[in-house]
Amino acid sequence: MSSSFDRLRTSVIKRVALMVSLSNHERRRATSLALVCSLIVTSAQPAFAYLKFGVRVSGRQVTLRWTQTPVRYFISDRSSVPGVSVADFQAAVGRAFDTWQAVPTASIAYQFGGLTAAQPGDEDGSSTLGFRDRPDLDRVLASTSFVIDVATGALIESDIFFNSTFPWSVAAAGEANRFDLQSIALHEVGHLSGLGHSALGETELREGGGRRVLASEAVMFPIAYAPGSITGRTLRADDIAGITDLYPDNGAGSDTGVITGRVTKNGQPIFGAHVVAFDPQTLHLIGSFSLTAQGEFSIGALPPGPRLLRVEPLDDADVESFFSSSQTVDLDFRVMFFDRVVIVPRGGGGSPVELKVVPK
Amino acid sequence: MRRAVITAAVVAALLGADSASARAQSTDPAGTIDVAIGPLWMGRESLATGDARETTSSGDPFRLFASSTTLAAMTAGEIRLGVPLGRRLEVFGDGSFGTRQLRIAATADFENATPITAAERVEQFTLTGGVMWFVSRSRVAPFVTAEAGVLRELHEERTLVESGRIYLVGGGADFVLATRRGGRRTLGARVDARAMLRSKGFLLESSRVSPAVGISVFARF
Repeated sequence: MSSSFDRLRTSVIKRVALMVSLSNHERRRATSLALVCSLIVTSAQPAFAYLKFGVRVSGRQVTLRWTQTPVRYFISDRSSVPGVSVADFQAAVGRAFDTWQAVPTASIAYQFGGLTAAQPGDEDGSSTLGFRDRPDLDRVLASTSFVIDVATGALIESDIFFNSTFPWSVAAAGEANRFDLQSIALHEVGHLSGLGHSALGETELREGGGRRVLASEAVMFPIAYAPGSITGRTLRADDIAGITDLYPDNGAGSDTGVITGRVTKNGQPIFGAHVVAFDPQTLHLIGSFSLTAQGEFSIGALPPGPRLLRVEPLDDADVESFFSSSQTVDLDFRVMFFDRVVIVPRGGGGSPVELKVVPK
Repeated sequence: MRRAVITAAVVAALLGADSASARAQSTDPAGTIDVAIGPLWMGRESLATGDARETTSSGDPFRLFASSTTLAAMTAGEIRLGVPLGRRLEVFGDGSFGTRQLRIAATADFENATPITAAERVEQFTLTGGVMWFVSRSRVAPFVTAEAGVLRELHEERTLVESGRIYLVGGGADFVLATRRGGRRTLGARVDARAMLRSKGFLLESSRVSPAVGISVFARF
């Protein structure tokens, strides 16, 4: 009992440290992610596949992930909005958790703990999901926050709130002008599991501000599909590679490989370039970023075989959706393909490649 | 072809064959050994074609770029060792080695990336066994073959090996250039064409058929 108390105290200390990121997070959905990602970038370990959350503990970088599964989650007993009852909410969120848990190459598991009087954002050691009314967050559909043990970097709690200011739906086929709760929950549960944002998507600017998604190929793309769409209920190859990389199932590590390399422009490294590996057989796209000052990138959990690499600037979403505003992301280069086929070996990596981009 | 014939003539001279005896009819080759060596051309193989797709809000595919993946044609070195079982039938083992390029072409990029054909060198080994059936055993001896075996592909950095199975059927002809000892020793040129069915290997979930043409010098002794 005393150890539990100590653990809670530790988490409370971390809560104070995270208050800034929490408030930033609530101002803008992507900001807390960006703050965490900035920690990754400062890591001495250069090559993280995908954007994963990380914390610095005792001078070392720790990837944010659940060390014990199943991850227990609770549903706020006040999680109802017009058209969505608490039971509807529980069922839709449950399907989202089940979808992540069903990834055969990943070992993550979740367990519904029951209804709770707590609200998401209450730091009580329990992961709680529910609606909150936040009209001030007019561009935030939902948000995920974390409480972390500062001594070990272990995740203690992760809450998800869904903004009841927006219209929601749990209809099986979706509902016009309403956001699909299951789709948005799938994205947020990805965050809860430790995944950051993917840049696998194309957007166009709206005249009145913001962006419209033309297409995406990752549930973890930071901008949601239009209301009424249920396309976001299905994990894509990029999401599966990400969760596999974080929670590899037995054998997944030895059966998959990694591509590493760096992105340069005029001989200088580029930070924040989006690198995508295309599998010509499955036609799957899996992406990552150059995440170090040396422009290094790594794409892991790839099935063995040949790949075509494509590199592009991070211009289909706000850079702050991926990185902190203090980091300079170079957007001034042309989209290009690497002129060599890169082979992904089984259970390892080949020689690092250098992707030389040119200014626009 | 001309080069192969010249090579055959040189080998014949080394063996001290009597060119006049080339006009003689072949005898039953049973009990001899048939060795053939020469180049084997393997045709281009289309491995995969498809779009790199994203998904729209309505669930429709959205093309990011188009791709086409091929194994380029190559010329391998081939050696075949056969044992005639009778006048018309021969069993053989065959091995080949060569390098070819795996190419992925990307075009029609949504964000106007310059089209490109990325390439990678692949080493290919084959080992097969089969039978040859000669339609006739004269100075020009047409034959048909059927063989099956394994294929291994090793990419440039040698960090990934893919294995597959190959099945070949074809036909060709032996051209006897010189014989000795009443046809017990024979030197000649062989030309044959094959259809090669390949399963597995780089990027192959389904089987592919491609052409192959061999030209070789053979010696039977």
